[in-house]
Amino acid sequence: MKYLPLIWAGLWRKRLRTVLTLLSIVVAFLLFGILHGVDAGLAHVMQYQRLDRLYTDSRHGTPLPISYQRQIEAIPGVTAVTPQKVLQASWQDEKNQVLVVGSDRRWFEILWETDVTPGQLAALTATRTGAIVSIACAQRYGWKVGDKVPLTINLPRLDGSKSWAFDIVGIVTMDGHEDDGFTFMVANYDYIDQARAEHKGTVSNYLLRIDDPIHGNRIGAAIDSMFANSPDPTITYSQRLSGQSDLNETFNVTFFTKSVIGAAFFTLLILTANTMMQSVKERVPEFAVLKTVGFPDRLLMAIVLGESLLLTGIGAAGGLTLAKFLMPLARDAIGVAHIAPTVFLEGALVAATVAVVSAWAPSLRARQINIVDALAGR
Amino acid sequence: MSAIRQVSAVTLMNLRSIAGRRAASFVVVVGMAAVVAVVISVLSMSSGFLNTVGKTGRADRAIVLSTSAVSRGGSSLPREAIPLIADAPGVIKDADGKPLVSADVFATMEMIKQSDGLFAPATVHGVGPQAFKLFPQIRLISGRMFNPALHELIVGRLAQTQFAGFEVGSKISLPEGDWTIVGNFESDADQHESELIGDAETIMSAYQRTDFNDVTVMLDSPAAFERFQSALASNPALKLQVVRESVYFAKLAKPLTDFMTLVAYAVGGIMGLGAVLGALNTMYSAVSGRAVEIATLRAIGFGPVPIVVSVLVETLLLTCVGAFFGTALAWLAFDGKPAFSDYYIYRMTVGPGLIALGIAIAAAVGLAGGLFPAIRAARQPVAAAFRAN
Repeated sequence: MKYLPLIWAGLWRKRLRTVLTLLSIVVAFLLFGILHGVDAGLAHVMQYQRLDRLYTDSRHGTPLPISYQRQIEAIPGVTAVTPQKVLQASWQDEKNQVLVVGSDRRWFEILWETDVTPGQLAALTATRTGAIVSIACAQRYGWKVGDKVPLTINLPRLDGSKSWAFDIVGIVTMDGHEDDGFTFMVANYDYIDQARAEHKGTVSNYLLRIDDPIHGNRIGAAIDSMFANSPDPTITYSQRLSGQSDLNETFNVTFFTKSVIGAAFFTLLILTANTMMQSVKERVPEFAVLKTVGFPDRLLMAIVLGESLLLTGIGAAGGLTLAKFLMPLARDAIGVAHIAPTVFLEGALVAATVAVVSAWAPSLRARQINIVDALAGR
Repeated sequence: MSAIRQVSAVTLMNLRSIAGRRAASFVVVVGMAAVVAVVISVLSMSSGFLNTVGKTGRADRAIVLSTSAVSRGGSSLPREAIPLIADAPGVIKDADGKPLVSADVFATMEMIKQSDGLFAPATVHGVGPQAFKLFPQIRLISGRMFNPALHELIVGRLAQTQFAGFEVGSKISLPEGDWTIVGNFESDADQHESELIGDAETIMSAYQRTDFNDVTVMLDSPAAFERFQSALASNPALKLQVVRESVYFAKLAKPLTDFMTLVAYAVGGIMGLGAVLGALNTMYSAVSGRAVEIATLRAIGFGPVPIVVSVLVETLLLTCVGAFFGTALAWLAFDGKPAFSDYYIYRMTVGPGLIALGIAIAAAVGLAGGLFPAIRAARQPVAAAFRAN
């Protein structure tokens, strides 16, 4: 610690160069923080999507028969199955859209992220025309529990009308969807199926829960092979796979992040190493003086390394802090607003690596200085 | 000595000495290459997407959707509406007096991608009998046209290369049994190339659909659009919206291209700032390392302008070399490579516009990073520079 003033003074010998190098390091770590933050954030979101939840969809996009429910339930490892008949509905005006999911109480047992209460679930089961709506729906359209809401759905009823009435029995908040304005309602599949005129006994897809995420692939394959030769083959996938696949199709985030960070740090390494090299070169006579007064070689190397560590350390801390404050701005564009703590840890490691690698050659040079030659200016 | 000769003499002298400042100069080149490579790679996706999706639309074609639909997939038109749309004014008729319209139906099927073996949706596009007069850009390159009455499809060139099992003659499992791929088509590299095309009626019966998704019509001229639109709007029984096809596809491309542009400029901007700092650092130390040399030049009569120009030229040269490598890297890695997005397959394109952008970025970074060191070099007091050493 007593050498800190010496290291500090050495660092500021050429003010402009140090400031520019420092700013470059800040920029590199700002980039590191933001890109890595987005990447880690997305990975976190994907992990949050449950692996123990599978979707059985139609391979061809055609409706699946409701009879599949019993057959899927019978497969070992499947703990719950619920049908989903997904319908696009509107309330009063075509612009007021509501996503109607025809299902049953098991929907809430599989998608556990809601704050639904047992009372609401009992009411849904007891009321044939009952529906549990999202908070966004209730707020936007001013619906309350007990209201009867007529919706227009492009699905003719037995009497030919396209007007469907639902009784609201509960309002729920879904984790991760608190403020995204997602207007959906879960209604009873049986009500919709009995009242509609066409395609009776069919569903859009099945939502299922399995005992252990590890069995996901095996169970998915078992379901799909069971229906492979039927008129309505299925495709079963986990929610996580579907999210990952979608994201990767649009934009290979991880690859992009790694390339950019790689390029930025390669440049940074050369820059810092160059700065340290020049700085040591200019101070050869000074190091010779230090050697003359008895500084051991090891200590000289440590001083050079210390300068390098201090420089990258300050720069990295500055860049990562800046990234932390700038990150919320990116929320609208990418939906991730926080930088995971591990990113800071990794940043510190990267900074240390850059410091050590770029100080290596200069510190060797400082050690090899020949006192007589250096003082003589040779 | 003339000004031009002064400038060229000093500049050449400068450039010859770059070798002595290898490491520092390398920082500028590599930094610049990274910035340009990132910006161009990301923008190659959006320009490719625009190329594929954007050019699918023509101003003299219109798409008719149901009122609330934002895309063709979410639109639903009852069969009764089709003749009313086809007979509306503004729709061009063929030699037999039949209007050029196609009632379309869209369906998807999960197919395995050749690249990673994962499932991705392939688009099945059902078209009406007039469709190939409506879309003259679609040309068969092998096989034959599908027979509307049979379970037959033709496959777009891009879809065929991206998915496994789309060879001419192969059978794919769709509802109501196997469908045969009987032909392979190209379509001026527009969005149709990522589709399978078959007969709308046959596809609808297989998918148990009763409604069409949309109707595409060919107009007399781009100007006929308003006439066509107001004719359909005046019929209150029809709950329809009419969109110019070019507008529809431009809108479709917008969210993704906006996102890409944001990423390119945000990340590129930060990296660009880093590159400017790197260039400043390099050029300041280059100038201070050559203080005596510059002072000598000034002492023997060289003006400040040649000094400024020489430093600027050196910086610009370094950034342009970097931009060249960056562009080359992006071009080699991405030009013409297919990419997926939702239901579209497109080819990334590194075109002349992007190459010009790369050069512009290099010029901007070079100027920003070279100007201040250049001015400092010219302003250094001659006597002080000699005394310091």
